[in-house]
Amino acid sequence: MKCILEPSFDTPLVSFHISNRVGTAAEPRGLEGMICHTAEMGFRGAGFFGRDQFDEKVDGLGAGLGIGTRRDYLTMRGTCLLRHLDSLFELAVSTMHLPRFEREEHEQLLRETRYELDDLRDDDASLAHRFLNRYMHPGYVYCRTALGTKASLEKLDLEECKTLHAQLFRHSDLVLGIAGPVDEDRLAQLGARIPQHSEPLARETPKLDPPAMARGRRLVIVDKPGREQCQVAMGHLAPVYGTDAHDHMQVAEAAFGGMFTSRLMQEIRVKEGWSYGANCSMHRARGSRGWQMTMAPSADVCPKAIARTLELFSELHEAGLSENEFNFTRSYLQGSAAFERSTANQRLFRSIQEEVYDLPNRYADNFSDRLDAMDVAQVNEAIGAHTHPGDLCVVVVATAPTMQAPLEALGWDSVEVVAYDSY
Amino acid sequence: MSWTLECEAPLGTSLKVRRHRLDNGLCLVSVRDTSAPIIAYQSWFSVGSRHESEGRTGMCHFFEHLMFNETKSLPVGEFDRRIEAIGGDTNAATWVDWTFYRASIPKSALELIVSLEAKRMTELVLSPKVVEAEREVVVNERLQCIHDDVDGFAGQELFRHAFNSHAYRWPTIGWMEDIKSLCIEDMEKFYRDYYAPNNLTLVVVGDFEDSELLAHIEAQYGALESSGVSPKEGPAEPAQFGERRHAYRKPVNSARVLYGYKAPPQSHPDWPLISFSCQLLAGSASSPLHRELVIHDELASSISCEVLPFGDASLIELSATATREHSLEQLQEAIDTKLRELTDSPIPQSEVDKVANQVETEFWGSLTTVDGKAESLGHYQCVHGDFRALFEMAKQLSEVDASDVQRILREYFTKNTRTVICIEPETED
Repeated sequence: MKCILEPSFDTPLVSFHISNRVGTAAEPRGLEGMICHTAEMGFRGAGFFGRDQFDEKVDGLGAGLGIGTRRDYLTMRGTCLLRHLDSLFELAVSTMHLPRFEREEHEQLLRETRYELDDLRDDDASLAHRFLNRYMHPGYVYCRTALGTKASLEKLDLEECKTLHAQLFRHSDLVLGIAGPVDEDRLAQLGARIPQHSEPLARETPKLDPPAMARGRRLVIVDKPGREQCQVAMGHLAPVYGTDAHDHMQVAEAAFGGMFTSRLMQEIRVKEGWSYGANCSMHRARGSRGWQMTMAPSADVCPKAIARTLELFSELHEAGLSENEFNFTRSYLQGSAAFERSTANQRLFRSIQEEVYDLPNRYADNFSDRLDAMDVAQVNEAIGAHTHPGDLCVVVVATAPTMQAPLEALGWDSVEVVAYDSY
Repeated sequence: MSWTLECEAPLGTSLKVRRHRLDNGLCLVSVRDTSAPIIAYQSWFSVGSRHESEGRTGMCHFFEHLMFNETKSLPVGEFDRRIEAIGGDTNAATWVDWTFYRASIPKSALELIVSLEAKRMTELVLSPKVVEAEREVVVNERLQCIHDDVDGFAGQELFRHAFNSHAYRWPTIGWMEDIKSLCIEDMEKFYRDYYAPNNLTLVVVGDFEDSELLAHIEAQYGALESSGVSPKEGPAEPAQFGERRHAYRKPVNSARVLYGYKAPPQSHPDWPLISFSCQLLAGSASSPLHRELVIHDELASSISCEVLPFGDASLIELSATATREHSLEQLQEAIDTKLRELTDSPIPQSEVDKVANQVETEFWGSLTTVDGKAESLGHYQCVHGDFRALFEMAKQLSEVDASDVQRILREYFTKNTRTVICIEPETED
């Protein structure tokens, strides 16, 4: 187990993170939601405590304790006052090693996840992202839902989840990080409280080779009644984090849609006033994830806003960035780095990511040095190779009877209309 | 012109908050925090949507957007370009009592940000082209946050019906027809009256030298004159006698209910007790409302309760989303039953101790970053007239006992002073 300390003595708050190296990308096909469900089951009763008692213990400490599910890893995060650290850590360890996995809790959690799906459908932006994830590259491990679907949730079996749980927290795979008013001795004492049971069999590492790009410009209209506005999310797969190509595309990401002065924001919001925001982002993962562009134009200007975004994206692909644009963006990225490591928690989070992605120590911090060595030609070469305006999935949450015809008129290789509650 | 040091107070174990004032009324709250080479620089104007009038709602928020545009010496877009060129980030927020502009900058850019902020406070250019483009953006923001967002819509309707006289009855973003009709002349007057040193609190937290900070601000703001205008106070809200109830059908998947119980202003001695009581009711998984309605009975998929931190008397908001197997009626009946039970039976001391730990954790959590520290101090200086009210609030929260909670539940969670908004899914026919 790797241990990381980020000392900070400004406040009496302490946070700990316990991360593994297995996330939802390792989920068996058809059992989407299994890892989320399994990880959460640890909090539904562990050791001597049933769910109610467990909640009472955590809340009684005034603490926060939960688990975040990522594609490549899980992170349990606890936050509390320093005087409660030992008690909270004990509870955290019990969720990993003594989960009860009671049938009643299993069934209730399945119902709660279905309620969560119900509630998600009332949030258009979340819907757009869920459907883009589904359609961007169907079947690819990073394009499957982490929360699950009605059908996949029905297949989750308690005993299989229990077996999976034992494989999720292998001692040798764990990363323990602490940020707050503690020292190395305290970190070591806490680390020693995570028992080293005989190692269960490792799960098979998922195949993460970037798949072939899904082809064509594909429009998916997520039909929802009564929309005055459209939520638009478009994207395709992007380079893997930790590669030179990803570094170069980070510059493209910021210049195209990562700043207020970036091309998308200036054209779509400032010049036209079509959407409150217009951004692009690129996910970090062990395998190839998405380059995504999002905006929320009103229904009457949505086709124009999409058409203009596609033009801008094609222009980026063809001509890349200008020398001035590259220099400005590089300066922005170098200056903004200080804000990403200004607190002990931020620094800890970066160190943990480097561990679970098997990247060199201080890889994120050293991005500034790599930017220094970068030139516009390298960035433009990456843009030419890794942007695909002709192979783009565009998801629009809109009212189909009124929006389908004007959207179809933009010209697509395929058009699909799906009900907002169908996935 | 020179600075007057008005007061100092410790923040945590190693930091100190200072408040200085210039003769023209400008207030500066600063904290030197060298834990990272960055600075949070915030300009808080004591004007918010409660200072607007009928027909001109949304002015404060619309104006906030315009502040990112052209000045006499900087063309459109230059403000953002200069901040982003050094890796900085800016944004702004408007609410009922205030409007604030925040910049997160590297420590080397202190002089730059003071100069840029002073420029846009004194020499903003309001051209028709810029105003119209920004109007479209605000219209879209309203569509996104209220028209197509069921919770935003419910919040708007709650305040519209809970207040008959007070300006809290309109949303901060304004009514759509007002957003579309606000004119440049009104905006210019608004700017002259309220964007002046007598209405401004600068909050600066981060890695700077105190002497440099004072010198830069005095150089840029010292010669400005007070506008002599304070935001006007509107009519007070008369007491409410009797429940107000409104129901809507919307294209949503889950039904929900939003209650607004009348509450005092944040400066009232009962406010921290109410805040504590809200946390006790629904602030954690083991809180009585959450445990019973979400976990045990599965009537709701979520429930929350909070009292709003407003300068005038406002609302306690209690909201819940029904699960598919249960009706909104069942959920409301259960909420009322549980509230009645809690009001009628003693609150265990263990529940009070639990919440005391939670609010202490939350207090420190909000002060982790330089931006968080600046935001908390700015809010309390603006709404209470003294940032030290933040620390007083923390002290009061640590002294709440079970009898306080019991009294608060009895006095404030009453049907006669509440407004109820119900949203149900549209039916096929």
